[in-house]
Amino acid sequence: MSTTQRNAVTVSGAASGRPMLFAHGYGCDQNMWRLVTPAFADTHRIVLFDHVGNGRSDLSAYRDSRHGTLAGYAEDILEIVEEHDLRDVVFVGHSVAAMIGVLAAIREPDRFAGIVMVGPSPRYIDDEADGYVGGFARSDIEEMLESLDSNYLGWSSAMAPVIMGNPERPELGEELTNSFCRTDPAIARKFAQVTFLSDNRADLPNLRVPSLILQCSDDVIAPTVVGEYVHKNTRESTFMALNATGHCPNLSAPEETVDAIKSWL
Amino acid sequence: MTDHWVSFSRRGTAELVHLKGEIDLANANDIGRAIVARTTGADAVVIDLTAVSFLDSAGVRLLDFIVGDLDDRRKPVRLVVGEHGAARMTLQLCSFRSDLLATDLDRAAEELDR
Amino acid sequence: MSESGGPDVTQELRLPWDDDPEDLYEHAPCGYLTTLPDGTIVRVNETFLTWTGYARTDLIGHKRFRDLLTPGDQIFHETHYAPLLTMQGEVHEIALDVVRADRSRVPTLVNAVLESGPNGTPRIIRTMIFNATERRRYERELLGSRRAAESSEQRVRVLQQIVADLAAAPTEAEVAEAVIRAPEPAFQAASSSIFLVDPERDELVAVSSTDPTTGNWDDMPRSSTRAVAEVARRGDLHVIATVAEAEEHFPDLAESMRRSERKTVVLLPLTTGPAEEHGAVAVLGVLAFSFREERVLTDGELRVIRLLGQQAGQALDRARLYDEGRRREDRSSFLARTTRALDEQHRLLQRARRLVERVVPEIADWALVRLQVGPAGLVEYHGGPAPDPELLDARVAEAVETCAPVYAGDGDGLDCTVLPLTVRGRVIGTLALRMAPDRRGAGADRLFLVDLADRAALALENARLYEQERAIARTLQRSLLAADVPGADSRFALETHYQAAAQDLEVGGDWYDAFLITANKLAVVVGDVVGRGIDAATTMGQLRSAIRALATAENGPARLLEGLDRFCERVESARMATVVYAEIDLLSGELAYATAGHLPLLLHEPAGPPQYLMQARSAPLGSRAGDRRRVEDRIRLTGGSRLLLYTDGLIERRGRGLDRGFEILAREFSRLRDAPLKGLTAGLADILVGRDHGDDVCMLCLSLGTEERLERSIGADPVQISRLRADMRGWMAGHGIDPDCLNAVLLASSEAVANAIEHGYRDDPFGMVDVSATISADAVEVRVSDHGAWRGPGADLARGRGLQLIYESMDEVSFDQGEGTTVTMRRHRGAR
Repeated sequence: MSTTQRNAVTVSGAASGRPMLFAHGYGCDQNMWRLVTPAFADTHRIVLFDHVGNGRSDLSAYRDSRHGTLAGYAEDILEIVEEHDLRDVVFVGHSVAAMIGVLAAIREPDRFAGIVMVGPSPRYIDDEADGYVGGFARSDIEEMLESLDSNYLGWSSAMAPVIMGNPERPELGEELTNSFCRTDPAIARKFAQVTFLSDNRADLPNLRVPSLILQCSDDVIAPTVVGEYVHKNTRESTFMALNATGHCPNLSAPEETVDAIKSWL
Repeated sequence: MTDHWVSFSRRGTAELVHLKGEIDLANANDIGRAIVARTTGADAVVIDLTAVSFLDSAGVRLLDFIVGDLDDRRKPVRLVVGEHGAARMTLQLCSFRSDLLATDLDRAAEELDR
Repeated sequence: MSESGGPDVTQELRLPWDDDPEDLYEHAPCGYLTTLPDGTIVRVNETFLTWTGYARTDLIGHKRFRDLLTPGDQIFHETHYAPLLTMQGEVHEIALDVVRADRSRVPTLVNAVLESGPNGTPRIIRTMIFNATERRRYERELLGSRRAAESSEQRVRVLQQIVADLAAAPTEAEVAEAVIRAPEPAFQAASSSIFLVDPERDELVAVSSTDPTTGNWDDMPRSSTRAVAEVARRGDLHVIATVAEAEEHFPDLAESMRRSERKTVVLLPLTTGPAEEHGAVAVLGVLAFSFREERVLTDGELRVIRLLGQQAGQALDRARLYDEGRRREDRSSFLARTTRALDEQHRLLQRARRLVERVVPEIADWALVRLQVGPAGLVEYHGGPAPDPELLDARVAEAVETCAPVYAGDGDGLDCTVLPLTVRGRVIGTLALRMAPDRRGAGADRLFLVDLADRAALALENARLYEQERAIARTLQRSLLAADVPGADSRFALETHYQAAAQDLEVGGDWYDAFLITANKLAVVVGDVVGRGIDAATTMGQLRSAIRALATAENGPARLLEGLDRFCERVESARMATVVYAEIDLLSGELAYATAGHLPLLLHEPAGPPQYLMQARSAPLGSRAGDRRRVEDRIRLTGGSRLLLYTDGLIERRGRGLDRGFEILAREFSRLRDAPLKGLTAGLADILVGRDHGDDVCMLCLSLGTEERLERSIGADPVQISRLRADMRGWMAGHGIDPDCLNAVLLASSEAVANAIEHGYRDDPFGMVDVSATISADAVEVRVSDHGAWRGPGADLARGRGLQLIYESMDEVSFDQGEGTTVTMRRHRGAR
């Protein structure tokens, strides 16, 4: 299966420009970047995609074995890079995608020119053993999974037909094309587990590619202390604190996000 | 009909005569004619007797004639015989000149070719 | 209530109270929140405050909507709710739990609209919150049953697949692989491991795990106190729901649960046998799977899990039977192949070598066979690495002493099983096998090894006996063949040759013999007894003696064969032996011969080509079906004739027809006509069969008429001289005349005959020249006579050279002229 189909890859912008590969984080899809990418379209080749199980990706490509770890998602990214023959890539990853990008760049550093991490966290759960603060207790994550379940009914009633690619009712797909952040509930749950239960702290020192850490203020998902941890443990990293609040500066403060990335580039 | 006993080749200017088998009264004359036909115009002649298993006086007579002819024309000739064997024995018994005898075909041919 | 706390609603124009929008806002049946785009609350209604117990001042400007949510919902808010709202401008019916001031929670459903200013930038968010305690409870139940239905459906699907996989899994390992894949998709387990019972070693073997970092991943005795062993013993499904529960019952499990962050563990015995008869079940293994959360398993799930245990147990049972059957088949096939391979080698050393080469690597990594033969014993080994020699010696000694196998044990530092090789209760040696631990141990394997040792012992003992018999037979044969054949008789010479087959076959029954029946009658024999080995050698000796006894001056060949036929009546093993028998009258040169089913004599007379004597043929000795009318034939041989007797090994050769064999033999025999007799037979064998021959070769060559006198009469034709020379050459060679002398005599004789033709018969083309030659102990004498009219010596200068040659080459020359001319020439033998 081509990665284009599997990951709903879209390529736009300056065909001869340096490629920027934007990766959405947990909970959304490539629409996340719609306020950011236009600023780079004149100078860069813009490559967007959806992680398997999200957006318009091919749900049938989801494999428990492969997508049970972030490394599997990193594998997907390397295949996209390979298939589209992307070189000198600037990878922009939001939230968990920042770590996925780190894993990919560790595997094949020659492909990547730089990694932009928007709200990264190598581990969301506190680790009392070595004093690491991730921001959450394990029980919080379980609660969150419950919350997912609570919204399962509502979500599935509204979106499941589209998400499941109901072949008998293609008009549903058309009708809801503009719905954002579609996620298969079962996959969403697994992706959440992978995302919030991963621990990639040991991987950070292995990153050989320059990186930019964009840290929002008042981000409950990735608190400043976590961003600083990433900065401290990643060589050749630049740390920028944004005025934007929350976890999604790409949506809430696209200009500031764009400016930060441009200044680093 | 003498092909069975005699064959010829050339080495430089020297005519090489190869004899083989038994040479006796029965075939000496025919062999002699075949050889003379080939050597009358030759500048040098080497007669290889190493494969001759018997040589009688008729054969000796034949060789004597050829050597005499070449000597008259002042052309060099050598008779190559093995260290042992019937041909050497007969020639020695007939006291052939030792300068005529050689044991190595190649060396004899080389000497004459100089 | 207002922000200031005072009643400000009355300041407006009074409208019907229930139409008052402000009142409606404040006391609407749902909570209202107005927030900035970043979530900061700027307005809130009374209803919300009532539900949540917050004071207005706690919220306005101080809290974001997010802050009122549970931590889990905060994540959901940040990852789903907020992005969706930003992108769609609204969200509907999002289920969130709001945390009250007293930390209790209100389940709600939330709708929100994002309002943007004229330039499109987000300005405020209006949020409507419904208390959904009842509905959410209902929904939760609905969700629960839906998820249960879905997961049950998935479980069934997964289990169907597993059952199908199990049915198709022919080996234990494949069954284990199929079973271990079940718990994760079927019950959302975090990981699973499988242990199989090894009844031979009385152990539970850790076979496979989807996450080997969890748990204690060692094999354990079945009597172990560990939870897995305990469950295997009990044969019941155990669900350890909490760490605390594990703590109480299985401390080892609690430890690994804590380490791998597992909250619930299921230990499922894999059983076979009728489920209803409790206690009759056999436990073949244990499937362990665990959950990160505390997992409560429903009755339905437990039923399914038990079913899985039974299905897996039955599949294991089937696979074990299948494995066992295949292993048994493999073993018996190995034994059969090994026995066959050993049979291919007859010699002891080669057989021992083959044994260790068969055993390594198929069943062992290193093998050593020791046999108690000869003074030093025999040792053959193969493979590696070799074990410690001292330890091995001790174990070998033990096996020999107890006459029982000593099996390798774990951690005995030797890894070697030593099997005594026993035949008829006697230990003839040992076979030591070094096997990796996973290749040994099972009881069935032990039986197999004993079986192997028994077969090997028998094969080696047979080879040893063969070796012994072979040595005896060889000795016997040599002693018989080496018995003196007559020699030192100038009237004939004999040359014999016996060549054993190149392959290590047993001794054959070929033989030759030659003896004088009377002072002037020589008998020569070559024969071939059916079969090989010591029996053939014995029979050969008996036949040989019988022939010597039957050969009398009166009997002759045919009657001798009749006598042998009678002999066969008594000595059954002589039946169908083939013989060629010939008697030569040394005075007259008459040959009388007869063949009984044997290959024809080959005769080469001094003149002409060799010929096979095809007369006087009859069936093999004692033949019942063949023509046993024994006949003989007689021919007169000229001096210098050679007669060859031989066995079929000489001319039979794979890939060559018998006709071709006869042809080559005749050609080569002829070619060697002038070669000395000595070495002639060996030379023929070399040419015809070479070194790599598959059969024994036995030959006898008689060179006859090494008569003192050679007499020829030839016509007055120069062409005849060369034929005379050929005869004389052979004759002299047969007498062992040295080449110098031989050449000189040939030259002188030729010259003398040439003189006779040229001078004696110058005018008589039909004249005859008589040549007679004799060899004495010290000289060769030749006399050449013609009946022509000589002109006398010196009459012709050219012929003078011929005379000169006669004088030069001979020691004594005399001319006698009377009725014709006779030249008598004499030359001493030996170097001049």
